[in-house]
Amino acid sequence: MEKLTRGETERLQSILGELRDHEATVEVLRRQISLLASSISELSMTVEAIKTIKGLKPGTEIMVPLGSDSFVTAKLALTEKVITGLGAEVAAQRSATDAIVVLQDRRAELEQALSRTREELGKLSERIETLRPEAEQLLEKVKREQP
Amino acid sequence: MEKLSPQQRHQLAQFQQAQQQAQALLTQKQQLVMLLRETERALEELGKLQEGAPVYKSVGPIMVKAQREELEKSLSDQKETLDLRIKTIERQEERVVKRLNEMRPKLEAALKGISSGEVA
Repeated sequence: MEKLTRGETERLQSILGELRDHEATVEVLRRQISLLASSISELSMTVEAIKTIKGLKPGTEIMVPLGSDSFVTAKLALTEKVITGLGAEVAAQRSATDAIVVLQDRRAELEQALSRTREELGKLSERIETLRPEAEQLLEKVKREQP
Repeated sequence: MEKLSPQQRHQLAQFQQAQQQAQALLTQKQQLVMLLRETERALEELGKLQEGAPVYKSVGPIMVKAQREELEKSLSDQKETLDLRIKTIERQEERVVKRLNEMRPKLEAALKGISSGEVA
């Protein structure tokens, strides 16, 4: 019958602690990735919408969403100006061209953040994959130890 | 757990409570730092706008036209308040972390004693 040495017990506790921490971080990173991806997709759609509006003539009929798949017909008053949020509950009117540049910059920043987060997740997953076999080996020894 | 003395159990409970407090302070600080960054960014963006560009303040689901100078002042005040709140939280955080660092070696020594007793 095998028994864990004191060193092995300490190592097992340390690995299990580390794995628990890493798994919690992985969960947070996955949520961040999902949020970043959805923000990037929303920014892309907004940029496309502004580009389309910019190409329309004032007075063009459009459908404005009211939610729950319901719309109201409206006519575009301005096609060259849009209002975009600056953060902190403040918004400003800008030219459609400026708004596109600002939104594309924001999208580029988020894409960089997404890439960094994915890289971090990759490193953490590798670390988990390295630790897991050692933990499993020690846990197997503990199981064998039990009568 | 059963092998801990009542005093050690009390120490462990205090340590866990301090850990939770540290975590709560960290979360609060992160939220405030995010708000601060957002405020700074909005101020910076306001500064970049063309002279006379209409600006708006969100009030619930609607946006109300505002004066640029008023918005700049309100955001600067908000930034100052956030800076102060972050500093206060950082001081609280330092105290909790110091307490955790003082408690940790005592607790580790007590737990190690129990764990080595089990292995032997």
